[in-house]
Amino acid sequence: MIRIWLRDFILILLFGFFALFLQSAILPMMFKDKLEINLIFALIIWLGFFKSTVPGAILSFILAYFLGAVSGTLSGVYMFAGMSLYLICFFSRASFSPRNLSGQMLFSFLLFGFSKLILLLALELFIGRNYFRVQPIYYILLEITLNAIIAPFIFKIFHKIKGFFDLIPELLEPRRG
Amino acid sequence: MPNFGFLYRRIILPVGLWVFSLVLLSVQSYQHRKSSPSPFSRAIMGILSYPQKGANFIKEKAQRGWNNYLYLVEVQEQNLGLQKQIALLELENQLLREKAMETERLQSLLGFKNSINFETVTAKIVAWDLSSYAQTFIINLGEEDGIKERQPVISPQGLVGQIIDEPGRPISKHSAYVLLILDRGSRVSVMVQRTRDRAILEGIGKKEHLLIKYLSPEVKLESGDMVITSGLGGIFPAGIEVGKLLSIEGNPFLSSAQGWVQPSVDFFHLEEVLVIIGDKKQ
Repeated sequence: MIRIWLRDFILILLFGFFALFLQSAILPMMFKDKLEINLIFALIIWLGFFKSTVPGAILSFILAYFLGAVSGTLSGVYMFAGMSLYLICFFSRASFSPRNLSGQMLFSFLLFGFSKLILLLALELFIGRNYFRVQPIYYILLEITLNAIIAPFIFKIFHKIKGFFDLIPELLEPRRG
Repeated sequence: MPNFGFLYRRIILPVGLWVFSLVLLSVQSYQHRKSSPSPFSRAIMGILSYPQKGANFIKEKAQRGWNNYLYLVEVQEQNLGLQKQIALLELENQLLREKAMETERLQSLLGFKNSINFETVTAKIVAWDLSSYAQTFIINLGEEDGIKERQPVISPQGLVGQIIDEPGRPISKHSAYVLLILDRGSRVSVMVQRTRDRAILEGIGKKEHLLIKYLSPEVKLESGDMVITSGLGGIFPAGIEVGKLLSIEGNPFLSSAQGWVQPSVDFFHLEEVLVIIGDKKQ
């Protein structure tokens, strides 16, 4: 049981780091630093909605920390925004859990909007350099929409990754009885 | 009452991590605003800088790789453009070379034209007869240029043939057929330049040989003797070079000799000709 738990944990962590690499190194080149495609926040939303508590919370914390570490600003800002996002997803998943594509996009849109607000507020409160004026409002909306469109695909990829090792017969538990 | 494990999993751990992140953010913010950071915060920032450095390193490498890739794509596009340009220049060069060669040929033709005592027009060969039965070609001059049937056609090398006007091969306004001396239907009255012996030259349908007939059996001819037009047929003026005698043989059934003549004109590479349209220059 622990073995499966650890296996899933490491696997998601590795793919999370890969997503972080894509987000911090590849995607900014495509969007010229104007729009931030946040794959890690999408992953945190997935962890909040679909992953069990202990690995979900720890993975969210680690990934949010590393996202903060590579962000160039105070690492705690992203960590705090990420953990806030996780907490909302985690506590609301008992009431609703978006299963279809449009539902996931809608929730992602709201959650990314929320995370953007948290980020800007945290930056404003803890650093205070008028971050609200850095990005025009239409860029913010475009960024949130883009992230909301991409997020369901990230969910789908991680749903697949979760069962990745189960496809290898040697790792399957022997049937008993 | 819920047990501790449930509470830990459902509330304490997620909320605890959230609170911890908030505390960490506050501490960082406090350190950030302080004028002189403490040794502890320096150590924390030092530790934090490693992943940042690593990420920056990867980012820079990826960016450089991406920029190099974009540069290569640009180079490839430039390369394709240059290759296209080279191909166009090569073609242009080829056309210019061809023009230069044509000019050279036309100059030689003009020199020849000025040296002879006939009224001539220069014609360009526009098409060769593709069949193996007839030896003809079409020139770019016709009725409107003063071209008429039986006008002789020559080149600086020698006799080429005559203009024909017959069903299937008529003279049109701007083109005319030339029957070569190589054609099986061609007959030219000739004579051997050195001995002044007259004969008839027949085409056999080949570009390399002509048959010379009705030579006197007593004639003493040598290989390499020049054969020229005699002017007796009424078509070709006298003295135009036709070819060189290759060999001669006696015909046991006729009281005359016959032989083979190599035409002076290189019919394989002929491109322009002169049509004699009048007897004398005005």
